[in-house]
Amino acid sequence: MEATTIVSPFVEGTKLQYAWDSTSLTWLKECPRKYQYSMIDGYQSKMKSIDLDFGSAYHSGIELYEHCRQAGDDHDTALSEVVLAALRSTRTWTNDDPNKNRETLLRSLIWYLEEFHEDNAKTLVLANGRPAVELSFKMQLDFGPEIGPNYILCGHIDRLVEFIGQRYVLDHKTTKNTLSPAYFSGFEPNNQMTLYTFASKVVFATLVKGVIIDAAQIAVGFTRFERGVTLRTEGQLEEWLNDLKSLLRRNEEYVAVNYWPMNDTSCRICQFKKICSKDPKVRQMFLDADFERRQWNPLIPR
Amino acid sequence: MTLSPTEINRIMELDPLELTRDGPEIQALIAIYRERRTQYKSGVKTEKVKTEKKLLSLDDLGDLNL
Repeated sequence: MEATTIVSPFVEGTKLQYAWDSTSLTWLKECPRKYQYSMIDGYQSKMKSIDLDFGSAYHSGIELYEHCRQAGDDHDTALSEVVLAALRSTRTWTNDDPNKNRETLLRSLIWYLEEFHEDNAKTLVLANGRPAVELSFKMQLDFGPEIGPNYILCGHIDRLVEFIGQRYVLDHKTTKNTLSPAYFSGFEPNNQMTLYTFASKVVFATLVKGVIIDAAQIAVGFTRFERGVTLRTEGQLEEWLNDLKSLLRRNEEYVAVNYWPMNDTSCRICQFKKICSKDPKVRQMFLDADFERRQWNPLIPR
Repeated sequence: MTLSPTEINRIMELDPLELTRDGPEIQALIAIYRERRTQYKSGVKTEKVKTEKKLLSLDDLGDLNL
């Protein structure tokens, strides 16, 4: 049996990352120290994140629905397939969280698919006949570090859609927060949304105007949906790419001196706040006690 | 058909590997969540009880021991 080779996102034998996704880029943009702990050292919270599990199950349900419809199933059949699959994939979940649990997942999937099954945002169909959902992409940039290959941008796009004559990336978000203009303004500017727009234009060779955000507010007693659109101009994409070049050059400097400085204006919601507030001499001990090592690898497709 | 919310709990506790797409349990779940969505859309049990805001007058400042 052939073993699967896991390709490292780092240049071999170095701490220089060459394959970047929106998660690792966001860590570096927020705080180089956070990036070091999360990406270089691979420290992740020991607590299993219900937010991640819920989001992943929600995405899988919508993806399955799209595949069923593309294969010719009607709405009711596809919905039944989604409900059964969701029940099966979550059978080990404990319902500890009042907002995000098995029951609210089923409710949210059924309500979303009921609301949007005759959606004006039509999923594009790829050349191979499959719906353009859950697309993993990888693209090489025209610049790179002095050592190693050119930089690579990679990630996963939920859906590519056509909406009122224009093409967009469609991204699903689940949140416990109230969906308000303030919620959607958080995506403008936003690293992930700009990266997705940029990558979609290049990788899928399609004129993407921006990202449609289908947000679901998961409350205890209801799920509410709101759709927001965030557009990116050519100028904004070019600016983002220039900033990326500058950021990655700075990271090369951090690698050269093996030091990622702390951005102490970005600690408010950081999971490493407790670590960084300790004396540097004892931080390693607390890191090992409070976190576990799980390497994030942008190159692993979903 | 009105289904009891306890029906959800009963179905959730079944082994999902024993269930089938077109079986009565999956159809019952879909039916109850459809019904709940209709209720939510029509405002049933979704209205928040707003607490009344009291307008303070200058006389009320006396109670604050300023």
